[in-house]
Amino acid sequence: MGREEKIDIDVFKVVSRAIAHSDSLEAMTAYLSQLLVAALGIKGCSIFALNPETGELEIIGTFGLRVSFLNKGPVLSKKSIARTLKGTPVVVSDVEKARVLQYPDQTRAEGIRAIISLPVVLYGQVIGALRLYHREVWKISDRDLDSLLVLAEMIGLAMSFTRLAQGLHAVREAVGGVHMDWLISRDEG
Amino acid sequence: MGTQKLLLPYNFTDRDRKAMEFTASAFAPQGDVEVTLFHAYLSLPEVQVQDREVTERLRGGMGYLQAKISELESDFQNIRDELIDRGFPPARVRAVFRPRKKEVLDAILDLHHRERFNLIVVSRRPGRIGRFFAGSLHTKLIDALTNVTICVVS
Repeated sequence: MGREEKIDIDVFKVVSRAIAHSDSLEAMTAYLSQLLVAALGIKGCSIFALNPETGELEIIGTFGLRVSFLNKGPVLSKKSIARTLKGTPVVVSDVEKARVLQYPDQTRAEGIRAIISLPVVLYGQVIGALRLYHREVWKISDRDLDSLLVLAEMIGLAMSFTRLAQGLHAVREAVGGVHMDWLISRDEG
Repeated sequence: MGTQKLLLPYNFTDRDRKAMEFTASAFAPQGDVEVTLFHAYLSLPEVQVQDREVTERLRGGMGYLQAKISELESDFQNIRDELIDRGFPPARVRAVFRPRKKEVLDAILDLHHRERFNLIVVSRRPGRIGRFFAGSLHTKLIDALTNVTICVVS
């Protein structure tokens, strides 16, 4: 693949609508992964959340990768394309020439030839990663990389929002189970 | 007691495999348990944008998405076969592989409301942060259902 532009405004509209119209993070990330795979003609896509205590990247949504590859073992941020976790996008145009992979043998066995890894950032903190996997050598254009970085920022906002929405829902459920007599003092009357 | 109806949601994680192995070891010897192995994948996106070229490109990509889902369905049938190999009679293991529009929870509840299972064996979502962001399926199931035994495999 050359450095042709693959992401134009219409592709961007389609994928950003997937973010805006989803009310669950699990569905949003799965849907977004499907759309990116279809729109870019790539092999697969995964969206991770970073566990700051263990340094592990936990999959939130994914598409296109085989079960055996997904279950290969923990993806550790310090060993797997580590610069992403410093907030920098990492382009592995050809995995055959790369030394930044945690599971190089499994990556080759999966038929992956190139990986683009983008940080998912919220308020300046890296909270996850968006990874795109291609079956061919991939020299991504600067413009497409910029577009994907913006998309990763939107994912960060969506992660924050859905978590907040879930928290509010949990509070509503808890309060809904409390009888009014327990909330209002009888002395008030 | 009549036949017990057991639902086993399966999403191909290591913990789902543990849940499958637990189901086989605990319930296959009983002989009166009917298992529904269940996977609900997200429906393929419906794409319609003004630019016909983009729409066509995305539609072209849909063929690949469909092929990947077929591959997943084949893997899913292998899990059903494994349950049979581990002792369940073939007539007592059903594999339900279907699209969904919303969360997995909604798909499970929808199936349960139609079929009324006695028992659900569900795995705990791996990863604390994943649960923090995406929520916990087993907690939501416990909150949503009554008169069902729910086994959580962690």
